[in-house]
Amino acid sequence: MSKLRNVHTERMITKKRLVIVVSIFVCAYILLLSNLYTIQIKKHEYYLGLATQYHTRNVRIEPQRGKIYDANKHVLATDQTTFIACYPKLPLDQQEFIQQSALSTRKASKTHQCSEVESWDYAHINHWNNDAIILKTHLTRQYAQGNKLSHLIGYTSHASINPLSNEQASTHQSGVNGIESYYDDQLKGYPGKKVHTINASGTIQQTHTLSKSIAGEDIYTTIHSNLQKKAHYLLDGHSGTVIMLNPNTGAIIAAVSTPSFDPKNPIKSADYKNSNLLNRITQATYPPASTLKPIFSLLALEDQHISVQDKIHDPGYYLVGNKRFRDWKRQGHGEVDLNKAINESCDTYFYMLGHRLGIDTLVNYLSLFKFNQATQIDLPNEKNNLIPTAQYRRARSGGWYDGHTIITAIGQGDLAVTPISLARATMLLANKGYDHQLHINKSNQSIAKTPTLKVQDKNWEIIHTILSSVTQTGTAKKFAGSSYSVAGKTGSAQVKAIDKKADYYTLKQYEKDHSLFIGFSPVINPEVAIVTIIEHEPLAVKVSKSMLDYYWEVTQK
Amino acid sequence: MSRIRSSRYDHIDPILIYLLLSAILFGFLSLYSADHQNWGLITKQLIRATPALIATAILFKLNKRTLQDLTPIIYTASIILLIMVLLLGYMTNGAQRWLNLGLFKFEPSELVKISLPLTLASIIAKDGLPLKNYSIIKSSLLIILPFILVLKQPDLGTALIIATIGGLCLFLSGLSRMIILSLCALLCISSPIIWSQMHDYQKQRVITLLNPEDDIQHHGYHTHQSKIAIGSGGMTGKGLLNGTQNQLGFVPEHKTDFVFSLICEELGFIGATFWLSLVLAIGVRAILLGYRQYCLFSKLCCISVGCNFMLNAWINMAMVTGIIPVVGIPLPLISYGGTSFVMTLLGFAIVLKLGNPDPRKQGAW
Repeated sequence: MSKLRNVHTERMITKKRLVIVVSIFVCAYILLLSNLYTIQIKKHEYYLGLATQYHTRNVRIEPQRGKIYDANKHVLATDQTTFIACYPKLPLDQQEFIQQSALSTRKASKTHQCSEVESWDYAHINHWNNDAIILKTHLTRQYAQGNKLSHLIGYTSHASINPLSNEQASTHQSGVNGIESYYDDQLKGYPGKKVHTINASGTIQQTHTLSKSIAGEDIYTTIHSNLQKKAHYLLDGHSGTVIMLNPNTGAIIAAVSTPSFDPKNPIKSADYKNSNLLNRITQATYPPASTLKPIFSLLALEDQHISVQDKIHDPGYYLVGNKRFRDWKRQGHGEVDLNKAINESCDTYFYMLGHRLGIDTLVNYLSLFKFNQATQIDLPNEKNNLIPTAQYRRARSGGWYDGHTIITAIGQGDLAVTPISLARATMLLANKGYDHQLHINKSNQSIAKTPTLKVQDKNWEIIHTILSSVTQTGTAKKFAGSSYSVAGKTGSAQVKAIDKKADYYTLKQYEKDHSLFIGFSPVINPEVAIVTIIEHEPLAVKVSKSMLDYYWEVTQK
Repeated sequence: MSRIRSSRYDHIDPILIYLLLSAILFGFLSLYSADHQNWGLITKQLIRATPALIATAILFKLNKRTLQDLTPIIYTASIILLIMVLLLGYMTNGAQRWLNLGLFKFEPSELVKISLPLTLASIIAKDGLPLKNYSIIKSSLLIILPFILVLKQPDLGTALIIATIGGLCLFLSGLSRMIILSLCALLCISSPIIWSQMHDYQKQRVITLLNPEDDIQHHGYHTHQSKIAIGSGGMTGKGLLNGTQNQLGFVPEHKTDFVFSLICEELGFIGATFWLSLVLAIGVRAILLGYRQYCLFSKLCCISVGCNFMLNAWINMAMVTGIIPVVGIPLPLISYGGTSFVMTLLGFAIVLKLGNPDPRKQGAW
């Protein structure tokens, strides 16, 4: 040692400085501790919330949607599991992918693309155990009869598929049209809830079920699939509708509207030119045309405005002032009584009757057959009929003249009714005035105890007899020789007025008349009523006959 | 009487040993949880600790003076290793910090954290106190050389720790106030220049610290996730092995640099406070042992090792809790990673060797 050291001085120097150093450390550690206190104690709730948000995912458990059955308990609509694989659109760097999926589920959905896969592929992909591919299953609706019932059953929609979905976006189905929509509350059931624990890359580690889902209720309909299929087959390629119902209960046993659509892809199969999404059963209106003649006759008989014996002379037109209202038969029917008037569908007879009764009486008669009310059938968005009520006539631009009244008497003019309301009128005609609730869901049946129409029995008999002769010798004589008895009335609704009969053949297809048929069978104690409307084609009688033939063929077996 | 009864281990401080053992056990517990209940990490950590044990055995055979005489060699060796890192270093995360030695990776900047204070202590002790001007200049050069080499890697965090530890030795030896104040003034004036010389990612980390919620998807992600884990732990924590954020992989680097977030999440504020107390106890015990020494070399060595330990631990925990920007400093004794663990143990081995709890018994110098 070169020189003696002053240990005491050295100690004093280091001691002072050491105090400073240690105090700095103590301060630094107090700062650290207070920061920890803020994070862990004061903001605990906030951070715990964030942590939960990151490592858990709330998921709905989809309830099984209720099934829809036909009258013979065959399934019409049911849920089926569909398999979906979602994969990143771009090959992302693993770290980036993990961060994205962990941070923002919304963002991640942009980076993924989903597609439906077969169950076998699903199992295969599952086997890869690849974290980047997210596999999901969800329930989709399957329709056993395809497009044959699409206007009745409707379809369901899904919320969009989010590969990393939280609570909001789910595969929840909701009914959009038809029975699916009308009974959506009953069919949809109640979803359950479960919580997934997920890791940073989004893989599910654990699942905890909070509540189970409750399946929706099944719906049993009154539809006979065979009849429905037959009607769809007959109407295929035409625009129109066939409605068959049981006049003793109001149960719809078949109701077809064509053209129809694919209930699995309603939007894709949309054909706006032919309005295939339009439900012609409840949402289209047509002039009822001559099908109203038995109704007016019945009530005019009841009110003694006419009698069966009354005869008129028909020159082929009805003259009001100097305006001629032409009959469909240019040369006239000659001497016409009520029987002949309905049998041959004589327009002049009803021009005269309508003129005599006046529009208020005609509207009253229409109301008695419930044309002024919607049928309240269990289908959504039923359209209202257009009836020329006093209120309507006052508001009508161009006013209301006798001419309007006269053509109202043959179901033309402003008058426009839905096929379903025509079906109800046919039911009333068939069951002598019992207004049963029209329904598709069996449990919606409500039988009327007393008739709403007070008409003497003899008048019913007169009209029923006349209507049954229509199908033997009258305008619907195609039915002649059937193994069953049938009463009915044809109609042809003019779309475009023409002067000469020959002109009809020059009309464009969409300007030609609609053909209508209403009827019931058998004539005594009818058990089936039918309404057929075919747009721009004279096929209503032919189709109705095929339908009734098929009906009796099936029921006799 | 006492002389007769004292054994040859009498000059080793038992309190520091107990404290260190508890810290190591605590660390193993955290690693066990961090590794999803596997013993793998702990086994590896223990295997890597064997060089430290061998070095400790050699150290205890050595004379204190021999150690002091060896310091220039150790210092030179660590500088050579630092240069080698820059030349043949192993790249991870955009920085060259490791040397691949075949069996394991070695981080020479950790070695400098020990060798620098030893060398400085040896020089200052030789020249005696109060500080001579030439020993200040010599020491400054010895500090600046490794500082620049580490900065080149680039590893700003470790470079600053090295400068701080070096400066601490000079400060304890009574560096004059004039020099300290003028250094501070110089630092303030030159701060814009330093900022412009910083790497983009370093600047980004500072910016992120100032606006933590700004960009949690990218630059703020680490701190954001770590704060969520810590905050969700609450007072008592979620229980060992039950920390959702760490166990499910939301906190990145939860086995190494961010292991403190796992402690906070699973053991809560209570566990974190326990660990902080343990760190302070170990650091203060080492400083206290140093303070008691009459030998200036021993004194400076013990104090700087204790301070180095507390500084590293503080920087790591401050980073994990979002007080300072993210820097690659592991939590000593706990973080998985060989060099830091070995060097920390070696540092405390030196403290145990030089820090006689009762120097008067030994006949002082």
